Amino acid sequence: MLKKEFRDALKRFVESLAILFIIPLLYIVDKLVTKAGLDFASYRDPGFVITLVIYAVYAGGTVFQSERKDRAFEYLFSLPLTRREIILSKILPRLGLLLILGGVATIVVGRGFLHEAGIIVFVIFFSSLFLSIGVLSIVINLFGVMLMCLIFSQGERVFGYLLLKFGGNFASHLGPVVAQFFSAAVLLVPFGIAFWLTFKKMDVRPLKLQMRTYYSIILPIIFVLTLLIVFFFRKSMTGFQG
Amino acid sequence: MIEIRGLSFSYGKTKVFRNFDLSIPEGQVCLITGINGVGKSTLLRLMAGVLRPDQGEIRYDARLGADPRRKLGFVSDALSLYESMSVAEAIGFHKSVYGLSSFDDSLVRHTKISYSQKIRELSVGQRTILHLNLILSLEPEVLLVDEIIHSIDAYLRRIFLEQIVQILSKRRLTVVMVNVNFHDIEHLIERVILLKSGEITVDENIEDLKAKVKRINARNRPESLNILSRIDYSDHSEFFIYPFNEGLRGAIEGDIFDLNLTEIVSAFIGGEYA
Repeated sequence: MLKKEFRDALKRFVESLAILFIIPLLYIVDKLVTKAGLDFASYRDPGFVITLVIYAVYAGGTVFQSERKDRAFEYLFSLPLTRREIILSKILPRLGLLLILGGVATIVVGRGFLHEAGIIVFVIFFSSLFLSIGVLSIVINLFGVMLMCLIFSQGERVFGYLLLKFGGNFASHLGPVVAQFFSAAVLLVPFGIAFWLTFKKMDVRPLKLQMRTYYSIILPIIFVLTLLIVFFFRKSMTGFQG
Repeated sequence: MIEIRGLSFSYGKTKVFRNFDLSIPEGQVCLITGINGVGKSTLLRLMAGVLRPDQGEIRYDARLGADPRRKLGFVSDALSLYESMSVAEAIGFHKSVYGLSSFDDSLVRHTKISYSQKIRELSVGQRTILHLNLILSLEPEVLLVDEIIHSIDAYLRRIFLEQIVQILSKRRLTVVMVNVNFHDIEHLIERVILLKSGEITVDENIEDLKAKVKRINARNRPESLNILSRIDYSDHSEFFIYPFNEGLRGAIEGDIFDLNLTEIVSAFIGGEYA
């Protein structure tokens, strides 16, 4: 199972890497045609970020694609594999390749890349993964991921504000990373629980008959998080400006 | 042994089974039949673990271990496999999941299937053969087969059934088949279960069932007999009787005929549509 999933993940990985090949092309076009005067790094760095983000969405969102496309859920569920084994063999290769790509990007672009994009890439990957169980279209999945990233970034500001207010010296050193971490945890843990509870009981019934648990966890969470963010914004608008 | 206790299952608001019980002893070849949409394939999927009961439980003999699916061969009418895999990849995947060191391709060998062909390129019959070969390679203790075996041609069906007979002669294989057409599997079947509205309406040993269901050709409806269904002709009618007992033979006006399994099940099903 792991071998098959690794092959699937590698396929998505190679497809996503196609973007990296556009970077030198854009640079050459710049040098020869548009002459905007940008150096190679100006194309390379965003190129890596875009590749990583696209792979994170793609790898997470297509985790069940082979089962859906091949109508293989029934076969998969008839195999002597626990749900934990199935999901781990799906996540680990994708996560491994994401880490490799992130590592390469960090080496090429510099450590700042890890600070800037490290946690958000994992938020994107897991958001896409946790949405994939109920969202069949990768485009709708992408919109969902964007919404979750929006909640994540606002949550990060809320936690950043709280850390500044109550964190003291600690906040000045690790504040931004800790704020990102808390925001990611608050967002992803309930989504992860909803995903797992749904997948654990999933069978070959039509999907719409199996999503009650998922939506009954997800929708109130999104509602509460949105309310909390709006509340914090209103309450301490000045503290969030910077 | 398969033990189903208090099983309830529904597709949304449509209840299929409510508090359903069934026990299938080890080594029995059992046929589940009934009209379309009665829940035969659903029951098989529940037994295979690809559908989960809303309530109740399905237990397998402890001999099958913690995960009975390891010794359970299931072929459904959906013929679900990874269609984008080639035949060779599908076999390799199957071997790795079940930890098989070798693969006896004796069924696939009889077909014109190429190992490099994608599964989605195979005909329904070829896919069925491949699927049957995959599950037989597990040396299953329990075989759950939906009515899909009728999609394979007579030659391959015979080879498959010969393999089943061979296995049955060597060891106690429990077989549950869902079917509405039985002429070539009748000799294998020991027990017949007829489902109606999510309940068992007939549960008989095949010999008892054959003794209890008869066809009577007569001009008039036989009095005081339970008629499952009837077919009218210009000069007479065929009455399908259940339960029949030998004590009634003398009192019946008309000719009494024995039925094969296909005719028996048709009589029951015909009665439900009437």
